[in-house]
Amino acid sequence: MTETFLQTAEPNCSAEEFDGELVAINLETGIYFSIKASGAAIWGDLNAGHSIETIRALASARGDLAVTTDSFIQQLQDHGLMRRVDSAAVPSKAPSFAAFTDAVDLPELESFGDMQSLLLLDPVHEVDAEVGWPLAKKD
Amino acid sequence: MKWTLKSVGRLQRRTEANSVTAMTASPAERALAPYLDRSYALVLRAIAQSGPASIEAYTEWRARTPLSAVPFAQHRAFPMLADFVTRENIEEREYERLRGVGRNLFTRSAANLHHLRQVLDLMAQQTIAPILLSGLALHAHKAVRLDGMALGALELLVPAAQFHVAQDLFKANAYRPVSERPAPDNASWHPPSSDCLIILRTSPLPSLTNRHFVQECIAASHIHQFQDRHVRVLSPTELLFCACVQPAIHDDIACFTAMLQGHALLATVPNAIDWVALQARIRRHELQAYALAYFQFLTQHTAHDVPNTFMAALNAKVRQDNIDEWMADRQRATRRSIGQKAGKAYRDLRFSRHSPSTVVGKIIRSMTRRLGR
Repeated sequence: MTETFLQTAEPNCSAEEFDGELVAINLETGIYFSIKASGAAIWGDLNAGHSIETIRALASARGDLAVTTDSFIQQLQDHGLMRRVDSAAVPSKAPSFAAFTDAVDLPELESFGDMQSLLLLDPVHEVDAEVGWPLAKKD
Repeated sequence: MKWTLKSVGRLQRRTEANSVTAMTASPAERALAPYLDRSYALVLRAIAQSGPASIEAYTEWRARTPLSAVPFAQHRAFPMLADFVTRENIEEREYERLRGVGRNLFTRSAANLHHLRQVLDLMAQQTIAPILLSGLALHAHKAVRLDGMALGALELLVPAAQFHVAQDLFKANAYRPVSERPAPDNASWHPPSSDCLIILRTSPLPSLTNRHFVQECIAASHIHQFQDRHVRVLSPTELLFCACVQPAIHDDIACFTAMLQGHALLATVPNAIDWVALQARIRRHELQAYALAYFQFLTQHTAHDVPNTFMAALNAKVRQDNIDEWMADRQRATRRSIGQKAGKAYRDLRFSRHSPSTVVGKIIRSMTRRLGR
């Protein structure tokens, strides 16, 4: 069976992890994305060299997870955050997504619109204190 | 004592008054004022130390001022403070605001690096090989993460012979100059349809344009793989030199940035620092007072290993000398007297910081600006 591998679409995409939350930016479109928990695990697994098929196999035990995972992986490519590569490094450890297959939260790509307008938001004074940047105060 | 905004204000006014007193005191009584005030010291202690020392510093810092009123210069340390909160398992109800600054910095820095790639490719067309300075260089040396530094501007050293070629290249590609009459040794530009600031310099430091210093920096620069390209990067020793003698000692943002840069270098690449070369350069340009104030603050509030012989040499020189220049430089250039400016020009020449033509050029530009006002 042919396997499909994905990697961060550098240099047009930059990504960084903050306490388990992954922040990814498409520098061409200026869109900022937040990926949490199981989504961040999938991102890490794909970059570590696990194939899409491996991730799908893990998600297949639950119908809702399988559908959402497929859609999530497609969105990563559609938004220019990850791209297909012919081959990948041999993963050094088992996929971390395995720990999330019983989780309630499904993988989700949360987008935050135009980066330029987000950057105008003062990260200390104009943000929701509970959630922090990039969510503006609700008043 | 419980710290309130009013008491902090009173303390600041007292500190300013003390600094004026120090400037008029006799030489025997003169002493260097602290590089930065206590609130900066507390932030540095929290991020650079661990265990009770850092927790105590953080607790005092948080009790002094609400996050919303913290000086802007300290915002750049918020990502490191968020790391500290996680590391030391502190209960912090405003953790997300601390962490949010890191996300914001990462986003800004990532966008700026996108522009940097375009600049590097543009310059490569004309075989210009710029040297990365300041935060960019620290990032290339892996001394700071993208979410841990404020890449306010992309600072690039361009050899003097290629300075005008680089600017012509910018003009031809619709980059926008910040000033229509830039200085002969530095010029700021914006990329087309972006506010990202790109600063081209012919020397790593505006206060030191000595040709030999620049040549040495270029010769000592390292080649790194950065953003999929080979680029030259200022060496860790030169970066530390630039941080410890940076001239804007009246500016808390510049001083705290320089302090964080020194901390990052000593935390990540301590063995790459050539202390003998650093000391020789400081001595050659007679910048001991700047370096002493900087390293006293750094060593007092972090556990970094700075050689005793290095500190002793700085101390001995500052004790022996008049330190008028450092005291004068604590004031913004616009507030300095004609006598202080003349003294500065004399020392710049005497200690080979600038060539005579550069000093004359600076005086003429300063007078022109004054007449213009």
